[in-house]
Amino acid sequence: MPGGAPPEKGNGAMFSGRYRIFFILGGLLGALSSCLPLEAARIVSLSPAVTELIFHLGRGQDLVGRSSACDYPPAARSLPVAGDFARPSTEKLLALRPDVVITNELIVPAAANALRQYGIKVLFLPCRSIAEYRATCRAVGKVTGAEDEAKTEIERIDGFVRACAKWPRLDRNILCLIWFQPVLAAGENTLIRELIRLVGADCCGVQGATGYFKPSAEFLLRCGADTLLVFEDPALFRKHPVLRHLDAVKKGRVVYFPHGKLLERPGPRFTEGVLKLREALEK
Amino acid sequence: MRKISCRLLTAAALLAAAILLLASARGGLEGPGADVLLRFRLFRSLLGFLVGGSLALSGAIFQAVFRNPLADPYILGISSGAAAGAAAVFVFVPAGLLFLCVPAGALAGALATLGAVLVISGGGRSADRLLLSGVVTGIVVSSLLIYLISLSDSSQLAGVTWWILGDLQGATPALLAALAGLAAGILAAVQFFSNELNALAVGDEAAMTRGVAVRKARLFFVIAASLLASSCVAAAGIIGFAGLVVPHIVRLLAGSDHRRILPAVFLSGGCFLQLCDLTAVALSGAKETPVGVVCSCAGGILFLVLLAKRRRQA
Repeated sequence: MPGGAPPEKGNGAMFSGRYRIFFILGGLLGALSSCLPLEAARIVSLSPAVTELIFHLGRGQDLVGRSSACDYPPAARSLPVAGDFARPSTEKLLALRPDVVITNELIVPAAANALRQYGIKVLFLPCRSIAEYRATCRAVGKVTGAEDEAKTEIERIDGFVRACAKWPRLDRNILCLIWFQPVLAAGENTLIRELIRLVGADCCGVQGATGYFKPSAEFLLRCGADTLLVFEDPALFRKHPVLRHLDAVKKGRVVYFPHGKLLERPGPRFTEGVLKLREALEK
Repeated sequence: MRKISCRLLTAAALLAAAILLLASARGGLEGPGADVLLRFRLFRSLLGFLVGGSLALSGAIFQAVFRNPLADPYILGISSGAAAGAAAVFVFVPAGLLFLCVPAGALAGALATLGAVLVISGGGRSADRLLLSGVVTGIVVSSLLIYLISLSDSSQLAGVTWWILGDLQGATPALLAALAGLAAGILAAVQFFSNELNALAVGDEAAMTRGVAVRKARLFFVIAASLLASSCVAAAGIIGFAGLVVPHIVRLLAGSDHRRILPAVFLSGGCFLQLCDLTAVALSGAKETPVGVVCSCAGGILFLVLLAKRRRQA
């Protein structure tokens, strides 16, 4: 061949003779492994609630990474951090060599796509209600091979909800403010409002506003809430140009709940949050 | 197009501002909390008037100094500096101090940006150099803002985002008094030197032939306009387009003699933002509609109408 390039080996030679047997054996092994139960997957959880759940199900050893927001249980803090829960570092995630990354809908789409490109399974587990928590339990149980433990957890939750339904009603119409600069209120389709109702109190009407929203001053002054549930120091609210004029603030019906994470985070500890909230509202 | 008298325009804008103030105090004022709501709406409308007027005045000054119809109060990167200052407060300052520190941080960020622009441009030696320094400083400060946003957690991010969208809810008597004093002082000073502003609007050489100390005059007007913009951003966040479109409308109606139009620009800008705020309140249910969004939307449409009109005239 002029030019000195070595002659190429025909590809056909690779797939003939004794090599063929290796390919066939490899294919058979691959097919067989897919039928076998999953080995312990290397999991990175970017969702604080799911991290708590995995530890709660006794599978903390499967976790190889977490997000900076995953701060409970204390054992989780020793895991490597793969970035923010919504904006993970792809490089750090790849370095952890996970099989599965569990996240929610808040993750930046580009980050999820990048992970998929490297063959990492990305599991989206939205968790904004008790019903979604049950679904999350099932999904996490399946991924970690802890399906029995997940079933037990679902039964625990169902039993707790049934017990709450028997509690006497509380005469309170509550507006929950999770933040004050800017003021952010819990609207429909938030776990907090579901848990307030579970406690036995009423939730102030929010005119169809969903999620966490910035309420208008007119709404705040007219919403008719007789109790404010706040996760920040109430002294801060008294300085606010609108909030300080609310009836609930003037009459001192502001319930400071320092365990906001228990209500905001749809994890196994929300039952503890409900008990503490009931106690705080009964005072 | 026949120009209308500046006095007539000023009187009409003053009347409109009063009507809008009264309109803001009407409707839905029965039931509990009515007195609080009335006071709140009046304060809010007054803050809208002062911020809108100050931004329009600042825009008119920048457009004259830079002889650039696209100049607005934020052309020297003031808004980016203020946003970076506010974002730094949200990220690094404890929650209990946010009420005081956010406006202070925004003001400090805006003034620091202005200082940097003046230093980089060599004290405003030429309008082009000043403009270029402003644009470059704005870009650098914007990157700092983005970095601060990347450091923020979800609650801090919500704070920065809502601050950037503009908000008139923080109106207090002390804030209104401070802003009114500053706006009145700067309006009086700029009106006093409006001959110099007219000369600068024609060009540096023409101004020099009229005996204007160009560099000093430019520096004075740039600092005055930037102070107005900085105080507005610190009080109400970033509200766009009011400072760009209102001076154009006033010039179209009443001519471009700054000796006559500056009070009309201030009053018209105030009316414009009051009207935008009324619209925002009307659009708000439980969720607040940001006034900055309404203002940008209305200002953008008005600006397009003006452009189309000028094209037709040309």
